[in-house]
Amino acid sequence: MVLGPLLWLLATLATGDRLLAWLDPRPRPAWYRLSLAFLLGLAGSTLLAFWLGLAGVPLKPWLPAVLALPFVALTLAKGGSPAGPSPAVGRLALLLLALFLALPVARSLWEPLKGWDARTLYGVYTANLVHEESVRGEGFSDPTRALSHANYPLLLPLAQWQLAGWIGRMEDQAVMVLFPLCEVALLGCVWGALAGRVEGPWPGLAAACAAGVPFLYAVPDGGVASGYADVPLAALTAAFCAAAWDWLDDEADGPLRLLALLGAGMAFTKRGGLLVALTGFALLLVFSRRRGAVVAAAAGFAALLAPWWLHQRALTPVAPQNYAARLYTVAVQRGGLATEGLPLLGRVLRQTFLLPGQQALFWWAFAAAAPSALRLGRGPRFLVLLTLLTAVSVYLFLLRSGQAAEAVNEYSWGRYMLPMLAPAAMALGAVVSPPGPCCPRDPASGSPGDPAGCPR
Amino acid sequence: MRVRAALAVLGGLLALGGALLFAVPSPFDDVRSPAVAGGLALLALAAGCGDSRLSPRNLAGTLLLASLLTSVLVTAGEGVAFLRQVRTQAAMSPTQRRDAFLEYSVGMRGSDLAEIQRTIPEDASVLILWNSRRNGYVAQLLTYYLRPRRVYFWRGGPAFHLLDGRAVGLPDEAWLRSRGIRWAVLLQGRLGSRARAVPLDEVPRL
Repeated sequence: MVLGPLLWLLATLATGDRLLAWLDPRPRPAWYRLSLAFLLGLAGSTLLAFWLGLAGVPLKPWLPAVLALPFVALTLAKGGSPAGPSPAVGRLALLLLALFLALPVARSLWEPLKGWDARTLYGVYTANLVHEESVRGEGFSDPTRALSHANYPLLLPLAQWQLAGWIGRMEDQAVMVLFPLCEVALLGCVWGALAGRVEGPWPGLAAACAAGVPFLYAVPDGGVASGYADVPLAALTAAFCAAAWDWLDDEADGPLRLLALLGAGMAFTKRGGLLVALTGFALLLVFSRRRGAVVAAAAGFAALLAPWWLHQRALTPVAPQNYAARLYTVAVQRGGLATEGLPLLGRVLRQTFLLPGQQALFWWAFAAAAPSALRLGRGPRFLVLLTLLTAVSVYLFLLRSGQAAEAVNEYSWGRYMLPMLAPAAMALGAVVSPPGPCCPRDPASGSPGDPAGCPR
Repeated sequence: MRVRAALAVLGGLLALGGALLFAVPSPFDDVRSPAVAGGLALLALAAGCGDSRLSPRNLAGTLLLASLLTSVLVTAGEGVAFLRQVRTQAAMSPTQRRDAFLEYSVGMRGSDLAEIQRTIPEDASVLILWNSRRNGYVAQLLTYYLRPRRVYFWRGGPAFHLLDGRAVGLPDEAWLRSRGIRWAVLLQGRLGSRARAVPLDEVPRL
């Protein structure tokens, strides 16, 4: 029960660290490096397993170990990605992080699997992968085998299939280790992105502020312990934002390679992830001087995702969802912008700002920081705009998916907001920290860079 | 000076009032959070936080700290509730905890589930039959707990009449044979959550 998940974690870290060394070998603080390695390993290994499955390779229980073996061997032989100096997180921030992480970890490991989608969607998909040993099995292709979506992204089921392989069987409780690990990686990316740019306790406090959002540990339907894809997507988005900020600082090629893989991982985790990734690439295109390089990265992202995209289009959705037509019907034909759009706006604003039991005061702090962040430089500007555009997209999604007519599900908005947590926390951290002499760090040595490079 | 004192008094009152409202349930839920946030912001403005005027950095930093404080309060409450849950369920096995949750959330009994898992072989194909609007969700959930059995749904036929105990409309023989289905799980009861395994040839047909 412990050994299997532990071996899976080591294999994922080794795979990801090797990918990090290949794609963008700049020195990073240890926690940041491990967080990135975990998320890259998760995205890379599941995409690889999917491609193999699509090519007809049976997804045997030993395959995850075999696929990890060359990465582990290379990491042992050549070492991992370079380590940089690790600034202190700060005692108060560490204490708060431990406090806020304790509950989701305990809940994930103690409570039975409760999330609806975790059982009826990802759980059923994982069972299909484990028992049919294929991504093209009858469980995915026969509409009479499923009641809802049969063509949902597969990163989470494939990660759970890997865990089942390492454990030796499909185990409800053991797969839950994935979600607290994703939260730790998310916080590591928030801290790491800030720690390289500002000094003092603020990077740690900004990460703690994100970890303290009660939705992550207090809400049964969408939080860490629910087993939904929202937390892994939020973690991958955090890594995506950290890499995007690196790119906007120095426009070196490394971060763009990371962005291609992380963006593909986001779209392979949840359909909404595709939207966030595309928004991210569009913003990078606007803010970059080397636009050709961004287009090349976006092409790499599309190439990594193309096999999944083509495959899922061939699967018949059990419940067809023509969102564009629904949006037209709601917004134009029924005059829904006034009758449904405004009440929906009221509900989402209430859930964002007026429910401290779900969001604490995180979004108040972000709202206060956003105007200043827009003036701080390209990186913070990217983070704020990505947060705001994602919020608008989620609002339109709720409007067109018909959830506006009824009360927005108590937790829908909070769940869909999770990917915005990391960019918002990074922007917040950049604003509240005092102007420091060290931003950005020198990519070659990891040491504080020229003060002239500071975005302020 | 007088303006700063007024701001401090107003901010203190707002923050204190908001903090007190955390102890009171609805209808004040929507007021307490902005009260605390606004109060702290006014206090920060009054104090200057080392700056003689309100700066966005001061405001955002104050709200960040206020958010952390709110999170600590929420965590404490949630932590106590979780510890109570652990104490209550300490003697239960993971399966018993799962069964308790299933019964609480959808009215499905763990004993029914265990009986179905004992009765239907793991390599069998199963048809789930139900006919109330609500228990479509339970049918979906059952798919997960019946793994690795292959579970099928049939939407094409007449009503199944499971609630009033009349005969059941089934898919045609060719459909059933092509999928190797020999077992059915009937979802019955007021909430449509009482599950029962029946060999397909024993299902009373229309």
